[in-house]
Amino acid sequence: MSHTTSHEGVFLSSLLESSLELLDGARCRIQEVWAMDGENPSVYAITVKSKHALKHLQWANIDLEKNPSTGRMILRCWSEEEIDWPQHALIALRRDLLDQQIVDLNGAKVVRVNDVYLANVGTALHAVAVDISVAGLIRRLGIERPVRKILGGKLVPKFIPWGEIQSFIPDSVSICLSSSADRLHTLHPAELADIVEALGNCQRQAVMDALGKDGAAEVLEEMEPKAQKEILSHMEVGKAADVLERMPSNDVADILDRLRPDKAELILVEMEKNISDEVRDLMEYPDSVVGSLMSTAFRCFRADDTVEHVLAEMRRQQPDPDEIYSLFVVDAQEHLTAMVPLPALVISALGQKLSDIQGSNRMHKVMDTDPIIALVELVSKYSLLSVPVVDVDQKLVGTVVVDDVVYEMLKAPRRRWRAG
Amino acid sequence: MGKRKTFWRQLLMLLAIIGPGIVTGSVDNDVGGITTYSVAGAKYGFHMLWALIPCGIVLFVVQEMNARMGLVTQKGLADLIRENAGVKVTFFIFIGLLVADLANTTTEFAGVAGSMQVFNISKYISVPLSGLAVWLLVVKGNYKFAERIFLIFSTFLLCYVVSAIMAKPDWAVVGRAVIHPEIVWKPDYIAMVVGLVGTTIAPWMQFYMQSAVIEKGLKFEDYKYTIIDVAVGCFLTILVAVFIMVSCASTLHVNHIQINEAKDAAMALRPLAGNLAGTIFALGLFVASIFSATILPVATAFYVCEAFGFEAGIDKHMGEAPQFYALFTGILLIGMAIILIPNAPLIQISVWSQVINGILLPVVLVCMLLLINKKEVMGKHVNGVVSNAVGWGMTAILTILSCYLVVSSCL
Repeated sequence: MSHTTSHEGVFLSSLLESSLELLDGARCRIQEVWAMDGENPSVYAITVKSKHALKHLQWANIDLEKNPSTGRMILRCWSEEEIDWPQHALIALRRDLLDQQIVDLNGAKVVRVNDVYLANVGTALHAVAVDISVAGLIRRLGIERPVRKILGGKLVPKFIPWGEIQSFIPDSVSICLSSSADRLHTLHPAELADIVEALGNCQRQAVMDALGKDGAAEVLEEMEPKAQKEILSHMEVGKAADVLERMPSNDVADILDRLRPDKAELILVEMEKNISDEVRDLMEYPDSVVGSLMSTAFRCFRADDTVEHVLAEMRRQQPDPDEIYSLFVVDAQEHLTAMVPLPALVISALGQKLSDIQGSNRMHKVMDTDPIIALVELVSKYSLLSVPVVDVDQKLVGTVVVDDVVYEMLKAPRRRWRAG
Repeated sequence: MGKRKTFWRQLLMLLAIIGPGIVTGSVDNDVGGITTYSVAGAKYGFHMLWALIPCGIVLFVVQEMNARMGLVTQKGLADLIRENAGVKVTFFIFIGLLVADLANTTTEFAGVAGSMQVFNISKYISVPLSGLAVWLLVVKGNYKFAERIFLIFSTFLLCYVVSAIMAKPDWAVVGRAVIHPEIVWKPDYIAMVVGLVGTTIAPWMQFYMQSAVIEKGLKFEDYKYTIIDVAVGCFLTILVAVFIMVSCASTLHVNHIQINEAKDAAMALRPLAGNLAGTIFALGLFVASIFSATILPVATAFYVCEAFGFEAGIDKHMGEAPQFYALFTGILLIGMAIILIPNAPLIQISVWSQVINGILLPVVLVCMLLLINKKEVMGKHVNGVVSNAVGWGMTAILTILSCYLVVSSCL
């Protein structure tokens, strides 16, 4: 079995362009190239169209030669024995990959496959990279030679190695998400959110499913409001509720505010009662006040709690870093009495009480009905990481962390534009 | 009582979903459309009105297919073509689309120039200013917001209804002409019919319609409301066309005034139907021009990038989507530059833009019909027998008519 005479690889497009010589000398076109799924899928079989029917030929029975002067490929098969293949383990490189959208995990963006590069490794031909460049487009158009003459060396392919791509073909079992979703988990939720935003609705649902509920919640949180709305309106109500339950209530309230009221209500009913009640309360706040922005997940302690107790409690609860920039001290009626910054807690002796280490300085706080602009001014003036929010009775109802304020400020110019 | 409640509920649902069909319909009545309807009215009087009925039917059938494809696949037409037809077919369709839309954009700026000339504003002022405004709006501003404003503006198109009524046509004659039109089997009459169909069903609209459905986040459950939306959009498009034709027919045709451009109609209407009728006509033309001059370059740049896998979208920065912004700016600049050439052959340009549309339309329609009959793409929502009969029938007729138009304009 002698495969390619030269040791360089071939492009899928040039393979599909070339013809195969059958045993009787008849030539036929190659319709599809099948590769066995794996780290670098190896070409396993090809489908050709002879006069009468489609034939599925084993790649092991085919010789591939490159004419050195014309660069064209000649394929000869020396056995027309057809094979029953394990379809589920095969990737149809043309149908499943060529021209489809894939995700470049390295660049964290969605691109289109212009060509696939197959390299000779040992005796087999392996798919090692996809070409997403304009050079690939030009090659597919069959005008590579004239264009190369004009542009010279500027026509270089841009490859993405096989290991760095993620395909989103829902029907294809071989490279579908479920088997390789782990690769997605290596990305930061914000990067994933960018990718998901660039996809079509069906693909979006496939990715969200593959991420699991917690992963989906993290990614959804990072998305643009418009994409959040689109994804939720395509999601089944029960699933949407499951995902939203895993997100901060203030974000959930923002998202549900933008959905059609009937859909939002359906989702709220599906959610756990204590969470949905919290969300409903937050949804009452108009967009322009602090209440619409605040997070209701915060840690509060009593003035006579010891540092040791507080640290133990935090180790047990494993809160998000967001929630513990500052700890809040409340009295028996949940009135906010003091605030302990995390550094003060860390440097204090274990036996000290919170009342001993709480700052004597004036405590900065806002009311839930204060305008957001007042909060922004406060945060920037005193360089605060988090600000407690109290209601009209001075009861602690939530906190605002600096991220939310930054996000709000980024959003503001747009809103002003709209108002103007 | 219960029945009444569901009626209101359904009406609310409809209002939430409505949009894509109506927006597409409004964009459809652009400068090319207004010009063709005016010229047809001035030249053949009421005897061209009948042709708008088959136009409306074809428009509906095509847009229903687009809406259905969008709802089922949740992908744009450019995506579907690229994924199913490969690079070569996609490349030629999009080269065609690019050239056609460049010509169309030029025509839109001709509309801006023409309508402002009615108010004695030179094209050397109106075109660069409106071009700059369009560019700033898309690159620096909020495009979605602008699109909504335009949609409200597009009700301005109804001012053609006012214009037509002020022209005081004999409605009995209009009715008779629709039922018993005098069809003249002459090349220029046929060419006019083709022109009407071509301007009503422009190829780029297929792409726009399908993207609009997806953009709106509609699902297949919304299908029946989407159909109503499409039907209303088609009806409004044809309605506006009818009134433009009537207003030109009952004034210009009766007085044997021949026109070549839409602004001629506005000028000619002044002495015949009063200053106000002419002014309203010109205003409608201006709004339509700016509307389409904004949407066309953005949409074209978007489809091209979508098909070839470049980053695209007005929510991206210029550094993130360089090809998108380069294309958009290029189309806009070239369109404006052509209009600003002294003594530019504006009429020739608009004829040629229609010819390119005419060549492209059958190709796009064939692609659409092949896609919508593909089980792997559409699942159980492939075309039924009736849709296929109408679809392929109209594609055949349009192909023949377009071939005729192309051959006759090349001779």
